[in-house]
Amino acid sequence: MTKILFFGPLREVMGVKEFELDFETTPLLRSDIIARLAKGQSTIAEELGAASVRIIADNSIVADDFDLSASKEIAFLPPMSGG
Amino acid sequence: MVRVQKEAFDAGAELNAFTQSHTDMGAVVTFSGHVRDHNHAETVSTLELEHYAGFTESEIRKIETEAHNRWSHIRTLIIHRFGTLKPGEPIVMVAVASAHRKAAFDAATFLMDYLKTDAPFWKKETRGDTAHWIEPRETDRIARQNW
Repeated sequence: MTKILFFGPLREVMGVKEFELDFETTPLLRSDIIARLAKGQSTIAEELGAASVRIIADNSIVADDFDLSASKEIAFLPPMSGG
Repeated sequence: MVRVQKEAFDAGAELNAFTQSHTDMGAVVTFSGHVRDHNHAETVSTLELEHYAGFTESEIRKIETEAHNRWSHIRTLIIHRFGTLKPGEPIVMVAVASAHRKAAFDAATFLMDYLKTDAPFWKKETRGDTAHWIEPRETDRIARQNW
């Protein structure tokens, strides 16, 4: 099982902070996860696929073409507003 | 040292303890950020700060390490809160001690400029009956880029 996390505005778009899913695909790309989560809803696909949204795999920032099939925890991070 | 916490802190007490523990340092610069009671001409009732437990701490430690790489003999304290805060409450504190003032001023500014853009927090401000996500500001991005 892979844990998927959402933060800030993306958490509200998704309506949930986290859930777990089984992914059978290898390699598993960001686009594969988005397709599975969006289920054809273009708004969700656009929000999760935005260039400003970063992917964190097991606490490391990864590129869009990173293979996520071995990752236990994947987070979608919208732009941050700290300080 | 990095602390990410829900509890409020007393910036004055933190500063005194930090200064006392670095008696070899002649200069201490601190910054503390607090929740404003207004924004866009409206009264602010709460500010919620969301974080990513574990990741937020490790990203702030990276920022702290970068400051130590640039100013080799400084000592630093970074406190950042999460949770629901009210106007006047402290959000963030940065303290830098060094032998002389320039490194302390510069490193404190560097830390805050980086925290603003790179620290994983998402802020939601409630004004009146409406909650607004705070967008990253272009001026903050430029300030970080200039380092």
